[in-house]
Amino acid sequence: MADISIGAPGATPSLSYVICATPRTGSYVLCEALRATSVAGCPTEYFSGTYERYWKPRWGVETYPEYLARVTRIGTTVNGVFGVKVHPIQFTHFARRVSGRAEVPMEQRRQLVERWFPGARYVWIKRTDKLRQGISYARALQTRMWWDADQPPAPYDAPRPDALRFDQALIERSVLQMHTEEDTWRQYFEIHGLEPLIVNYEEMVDDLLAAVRQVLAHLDMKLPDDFSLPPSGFRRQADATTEEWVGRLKHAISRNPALLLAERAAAPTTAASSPAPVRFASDARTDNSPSEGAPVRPPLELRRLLASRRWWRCTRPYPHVRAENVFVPDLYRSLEAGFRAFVAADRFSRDLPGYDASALAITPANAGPFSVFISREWHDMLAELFGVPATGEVNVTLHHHAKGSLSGSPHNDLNPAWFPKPSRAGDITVHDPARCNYRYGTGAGAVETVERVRAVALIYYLAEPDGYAGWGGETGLYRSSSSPVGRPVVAVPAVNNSLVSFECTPFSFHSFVTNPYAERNCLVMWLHRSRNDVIDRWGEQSIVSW
Amino acid sequence: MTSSIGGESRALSAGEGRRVCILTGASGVLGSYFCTHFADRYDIVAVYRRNRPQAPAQDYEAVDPLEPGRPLADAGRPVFAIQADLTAEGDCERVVEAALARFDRIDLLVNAAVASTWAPMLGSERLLASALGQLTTNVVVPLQMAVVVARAFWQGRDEENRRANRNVVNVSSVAGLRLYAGSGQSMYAASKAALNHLTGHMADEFSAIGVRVNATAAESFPSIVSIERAAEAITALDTGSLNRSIVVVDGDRDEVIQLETYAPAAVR
Repeated sequence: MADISIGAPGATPSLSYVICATPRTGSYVLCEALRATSVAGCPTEYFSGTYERYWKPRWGVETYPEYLARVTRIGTTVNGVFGVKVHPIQFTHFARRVSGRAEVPMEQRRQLVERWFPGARYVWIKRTDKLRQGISYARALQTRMWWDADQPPAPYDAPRPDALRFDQALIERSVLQMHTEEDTWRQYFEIHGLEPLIVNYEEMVDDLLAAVRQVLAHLDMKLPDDFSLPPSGFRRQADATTEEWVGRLKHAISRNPALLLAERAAAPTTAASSPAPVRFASDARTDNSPSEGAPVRPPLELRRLLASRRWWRCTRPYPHVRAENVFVPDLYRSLEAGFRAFVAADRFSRDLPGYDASALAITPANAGPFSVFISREWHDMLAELFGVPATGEVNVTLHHHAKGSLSGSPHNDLNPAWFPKPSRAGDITVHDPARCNYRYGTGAGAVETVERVRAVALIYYLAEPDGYAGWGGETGLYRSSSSPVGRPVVAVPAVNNSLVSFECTPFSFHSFVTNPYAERNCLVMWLHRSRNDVIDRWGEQSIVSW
Repeated sequence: MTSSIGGESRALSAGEGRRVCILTGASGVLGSYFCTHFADRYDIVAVYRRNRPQAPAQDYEAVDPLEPGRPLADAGRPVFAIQADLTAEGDCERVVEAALARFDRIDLLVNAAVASTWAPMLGSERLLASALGQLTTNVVVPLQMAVVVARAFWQGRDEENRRANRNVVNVSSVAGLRLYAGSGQSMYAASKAALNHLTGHMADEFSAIGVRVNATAAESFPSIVSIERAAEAITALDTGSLNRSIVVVDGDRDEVIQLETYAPAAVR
């Protein structure tokens, strides 16, 4: 490595790096310190839409390429190093602006980065304590005080310190959003086989210069041994109020284990290659004794999570089950917050052919509060409810229909489905698009797969805007596939925290009905059964191939 | 709390002693309560437009998801649920025909369906956009339902109606009696005021066929008065003898407003 001398802005980048951040990870402090070296570019949030809107007219540039060219000049030190700090939502903005497309799958995003910043290296700044990160984010949202600095580093709205108040729901949403945004980066690195330098917030706070040296080493550079950082212009924002809120939330968790989100928030995150295992609140150990061997998951205790034991068996136009007020309020709040966090992190993609919605698969890696839907207890409850010999495979997917989405057409869901063969009998196998193509069984590599057929469908409604239930976005139930989609026999309204479920049979015709007034959000899941079981019952021709 | 409007019951006890009631707005807060708490006293024709009332029905049976094979101890008597858009042509007639086909008679009509949009007159289009719909649901539909029931069953049965104490209860609101300034309730309140007045005229005209007509005007439930109280005001009117009255459910005790008839001196 070569010692680097002081430089000046204005050079063309020969080496670029991207600091992949989530909010409230000290990334501005890191950027400030990197700028202070004068050799590591001038990283800041150049890809932010706010930044772009603020600076474009001031720079007198019109097109996005012109803007990026200007950014590249500004962000590059004389030694040719360019740095940029990006949050997931800003990364999406960058991908859209560069590609000119509304949707850019994660698989295609790296080539957009490479087009502008060839050979870019990555720094991933993470914060272990998600609870404090979420609290910090919630406080900043309320007060608009994103920094305590003499010179704010980015355009900002007028602060409103008086807006500060304890808002548990907001904190929970914030914690989930932090998890989700971090998962977005994890996904990006995994898809593209990247190995970012990980900078840990808590360690960086203790020794900022060490973190700077780490970053420079990642860029094949080295600071002089006697280099010291100037005093930071940022002041620490966490205070006694933060600690008070931590205490209040932990107390709430101790009183109500249904706060799955909060329980997850308290769990430390793990390395990129091994996402944190899904844990249930009821898993929480009450002592500090070390666990031995593989963790054993105790029962989920659905009894404590269900708000009502009164569901409804309905017969028209075919047998189905409906329920309102499904989960206890705390869990529902966590589910809605989780859904919103996935939306905010732009995790949905439009990859459902012939279906006017965007979707996100729930897997053990990202389940959070949705873990209830991939639990053995939930699986067995549904199987028993319909008397179906379900085989343990589940597909759980979040659906988001933008306002004005097109109606579907009546279909019965009696389709084949593929899963990796479970390693142990009795395991719940969760559909994961990264491991096996659900429709055709491809993409599993050397892993042995098994074909199943959908057995039970369930639609759980959540995160609906208030006041629109029954005004579009219903699930229509029909007598035949040729029934007009706008005239269902039964229209199940999308009421928050309610569900409809049915056995998939040759006659279980249903469809999404257009939503002209408001978005419609739900979780869709299926249990599965053996193919032979379906053939014995309805004949092989009943299975509807993709 | 005991209602002050009970009076002596003159209800006809037929069959299992249950009276036959058509209830519109059955999926609302009040409607759902009525369905789940009074199904032992009434054979309820539960009319809903969009959301299903959370009550057992002819095609709707309660089940415990964790013990689906075990009958629920408190399953409740089923209502006869009909999905209908009462503002659509022919749906009022269809509901009444179905009720008569199922139960052979109608003793009580509860007009509880409601449309409610609160919005300012100025600075919002919502009020204008919803005005006609509120008037239709809150005033025209109660009129239409009552007329259809009368023509289909009550007309020509004056004495039977009186013996059976048959009646109509229009579910109105205190908003039709009081001016809640700054709430954006203008059109809703106007429609309820119209319903109050319609109740008086309906009582006047239906007296010829032996059918009583009253209204309830409850404060907000469940925030100010309980749902139980708002619902029991309806059953008290049904079993009592009041006519051409509005029962105001508010404060510690229900208040009865008698709608006086008026004739100009020249006519008198």
